Amino acid sequence: MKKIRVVALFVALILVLTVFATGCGSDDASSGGSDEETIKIGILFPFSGSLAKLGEETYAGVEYAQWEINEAGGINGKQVEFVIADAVDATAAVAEAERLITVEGCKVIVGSYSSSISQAASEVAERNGVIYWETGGVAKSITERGFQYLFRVCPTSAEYGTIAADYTNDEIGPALGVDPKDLKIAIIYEDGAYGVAVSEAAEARAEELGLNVVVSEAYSATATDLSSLVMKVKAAEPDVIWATQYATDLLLFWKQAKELGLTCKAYVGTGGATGTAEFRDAFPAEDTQYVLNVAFASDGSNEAYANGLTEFYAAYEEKNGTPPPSVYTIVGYSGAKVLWQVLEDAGEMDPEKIREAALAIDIPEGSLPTGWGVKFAGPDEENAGQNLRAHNIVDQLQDGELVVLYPEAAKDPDSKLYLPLPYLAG
Amino acid sequence: MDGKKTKSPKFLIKYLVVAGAVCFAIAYGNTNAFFAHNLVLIFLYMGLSQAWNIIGGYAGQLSLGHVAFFGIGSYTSTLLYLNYGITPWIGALVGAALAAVVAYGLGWATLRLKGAYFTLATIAFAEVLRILATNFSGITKGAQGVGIPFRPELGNMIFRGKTGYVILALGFAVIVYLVCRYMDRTRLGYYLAAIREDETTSASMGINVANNKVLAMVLSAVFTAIGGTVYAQYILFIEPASEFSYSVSLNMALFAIFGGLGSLYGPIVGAAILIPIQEYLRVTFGGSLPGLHLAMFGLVLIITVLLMPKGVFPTIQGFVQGRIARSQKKKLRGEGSQ
Amino acid sequence: MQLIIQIAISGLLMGGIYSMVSMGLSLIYGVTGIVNFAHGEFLMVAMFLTWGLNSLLGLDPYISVILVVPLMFLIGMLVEKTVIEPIIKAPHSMQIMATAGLSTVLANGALMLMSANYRSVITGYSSKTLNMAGIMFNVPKLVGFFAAVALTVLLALFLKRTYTGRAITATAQDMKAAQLMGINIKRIYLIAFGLGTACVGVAGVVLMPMYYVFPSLGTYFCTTAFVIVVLGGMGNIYGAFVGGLVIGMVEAFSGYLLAPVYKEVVYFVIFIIILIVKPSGILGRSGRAA
Repeated sequence: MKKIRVVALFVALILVLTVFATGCGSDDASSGGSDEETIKIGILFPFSGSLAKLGEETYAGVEYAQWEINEAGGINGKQVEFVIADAVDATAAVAEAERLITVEGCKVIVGSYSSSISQAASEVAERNGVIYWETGGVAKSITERGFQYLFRVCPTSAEYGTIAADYTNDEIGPALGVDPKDLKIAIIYEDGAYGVAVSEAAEARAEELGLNVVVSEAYSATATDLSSLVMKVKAAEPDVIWATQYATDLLLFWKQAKELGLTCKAYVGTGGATGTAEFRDAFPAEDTQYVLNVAFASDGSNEAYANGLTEFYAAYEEKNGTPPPSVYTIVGYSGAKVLWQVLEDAGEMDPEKIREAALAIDIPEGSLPTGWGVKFAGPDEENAGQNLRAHNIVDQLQDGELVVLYPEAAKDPDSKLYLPLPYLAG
Repeated sequence: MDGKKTKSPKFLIKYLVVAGAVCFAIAYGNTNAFFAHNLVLIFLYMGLSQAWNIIGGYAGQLSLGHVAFFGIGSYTSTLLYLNYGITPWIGALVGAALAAVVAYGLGWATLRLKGAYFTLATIAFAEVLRILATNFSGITKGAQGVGIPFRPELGNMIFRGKTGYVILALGFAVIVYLVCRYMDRTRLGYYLAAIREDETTSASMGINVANNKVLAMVLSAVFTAIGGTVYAQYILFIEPASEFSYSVSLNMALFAIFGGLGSLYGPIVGAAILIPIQEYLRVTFGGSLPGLHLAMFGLVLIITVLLMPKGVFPTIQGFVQGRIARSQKKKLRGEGSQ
Repeated sequence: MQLIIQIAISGLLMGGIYSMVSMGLSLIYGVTGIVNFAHGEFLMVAMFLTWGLNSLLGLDPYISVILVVPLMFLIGMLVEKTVIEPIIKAPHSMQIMATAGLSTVLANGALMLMSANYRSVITGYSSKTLNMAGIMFNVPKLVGFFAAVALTVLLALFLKRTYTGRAITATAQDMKAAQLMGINIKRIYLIAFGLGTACVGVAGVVLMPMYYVFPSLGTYFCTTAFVIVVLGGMGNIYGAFVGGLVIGMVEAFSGYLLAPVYKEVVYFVIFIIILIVKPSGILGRSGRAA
């Protein structure tokens, strides 16, 4: 009997504790008390756990965009206020989306860099009729569910893969003086959702173009040793490597590839790791010379294509004392800027109005710092909510600087592709 | 529970209090979806932790790879539902059966191992399943995960509001509770307790140690797998990284250990306290310094171990019983002095 | 042929690193009976210390060993005193909860202090390789391998030749008997835990020139270390050394012959099989002897 009494006590305790936990947020909401004068936006990124690094870097751009718009007087005269949530994993993402919507009363949630977090959280937003504004989650499946309230500003993962194949076919082959069909191509990718999606798209495009993929190998991004992968690729004697990697595994692969005598003529990183400052800083400039990188536009882009990028770099550095940590910051910034535009057009924080404004928005390519334009796919179209004018670029590390080479509009007329890669020349 | 006849009205009242509190919680959850989400999590983990407690608590075999069965459950029901249109209600049972078979095999292979060896073997097993689920993409769709389309219907085990899920998770927790309570009072419960306390003596007293341990493992796996299905139908998106995540194994075990290992109410108490703490810390500190809320959660665990090395429930129970005994003693003494 | 030798060498060198990471875990288990789930986080702490000494004082990682190892020894003792000692006789489950909690605190504490960035130390020898008849030897890994050998030998000598060492061995073999012989068990546990942490300190120093440090690094090495320790027989430091080499080789060959993604599957399966066939590990004896 005593046991049951104690249990009853604990059930009561659940209530108290949970009401406390859920109520705490609403305290904030009421103490803020200024819902009328501010625009409240839910922020959902992984700030801790294994995805923390790039989540934080994307958010840095969103945060800068908030500061910028508030300095400029806000949206329609209202200041932008953030409610920040830490989505460690998919379960926490659901909890936090639920809280942002029901407790905090957010009508717009900005997320989330990680695709699995985006998948789980946008489901909640959709069911509640709240806008989910995805700035950096690239999995194609996110916009394949026909959602009404989901908008994604960045391109999908498939783009990286197709561009790598196209670029190899159109540019790398000719630059090496070889028929692209005679090039031996190796694909390596981390075995998570991102690596798989990119490599599948790359392989599919390679088949369409008739390119010769000699080896396609997955590996775990948390591996502490990649020598077996290197040996496997080495045995296939590739001319070109397409690699979809995160940061640590790229650094590890790059070291071990040299150590074990892997050779290739061109290295195309698909997804941005090769464009990060970490990669450039971890090796002397001559060791990263002529590495190609399929990514979002960044500091090497031509000003006419990437509108406002140079200003963003300068202004960000002036405010924060450091340059933007990575290209993801620019992506977060661009995504947020589009959202401010949409909110201004909508006039009020009503999801229906915001949705209409988002669907109506029409910005030509080359307008954003990433070089993108904005036109969202309508609710009845394939990939509903996907920005159809977001594209990736190809750039190359030349003397430690990223030089944009593709598409033509982004390219500086003077810049050109240099090959072969000296570091892995053998 | 021996004095059922004499105490039945009181007995009923306590159940009514629990039922009333739960009803109130559900009703409140209906108006606050975040609260309802926490209820779903609490009830789901109450069930999962109790399931873990069968092998980890009663039989004393600390598995940290139970997410293997969780993943088997969620993947089986989801794939059956998406590929063959089989309702998750049946899919959950198929997943449970599959988990039972796997647990039987794994149990026979590893349950002879002592202490830490068993724990490490289960961790390794769950990791193997995670890697296979990631790479056998023909079956599991691999790392990209599987989304379950939102078609709310009782038959699909998908509900429009949260209340349906709260009731589903509660039902799951209650079923596991009833099974555990039944087991607690039958031969299996006593056997397992005996095995946990002293394996050699139990064997010499004629208890079939291996059989009983494997049985506990299978039972535990069955309910863990069903919990996996409930989770999948709730989140509507499964992927190897979260369905076979070590942190799920760890949580199941932690809640039971925290509450009190091997006691019927330990896992219930553990989940009821730790999940709100987890959520509260994340809500309050998640927006500030990254990592702060998790570090604080870790501290809660360490401090609990240091303060209540038997687990929360037995400690409090001991405290309450101690006070009752003391008050009775006082009464007796009072009578004696008169 | 050359390819096979190269794979074997790569595996062996990596195995040396793994051995070193695992040795402390094995020692701690052997003496105190505690499976330290925060072991990987200790490695992370050691690497951050090495990195910090390099970026603040400009110390070469290999030189910083003279500071990192004593620091790690102190950290280990501090942790033992505050967290481990009170639970040394508690049930396994409580020990798991405490060390799992410790691992969460360390990993997230590092995230709070250091952010999620990757940090590396660039040295002139970071990517130096020796080419011997077409077989490549990575210099920092070679150093790591010899450090692992040296550490094993030193640890063995310490345990055999010194009074404290023999007291540790005695405690590991039979705690009660050791206590009856007048050994101060509490002190032995303290030293053993500090020593185990200092070992992982050496591993951190050796890893720093070839790898990167970030708050969640612990999980990368933790499972591998567990596998090695069990393989070698828990509490057996030679076993940890041999186990590390075996895992390094298995990883290299299965990664090449099968697929890189399956290399963990292969060694986990080997691990489970060994557990079933010979639960005391490949070099294991019965008992928790060091």
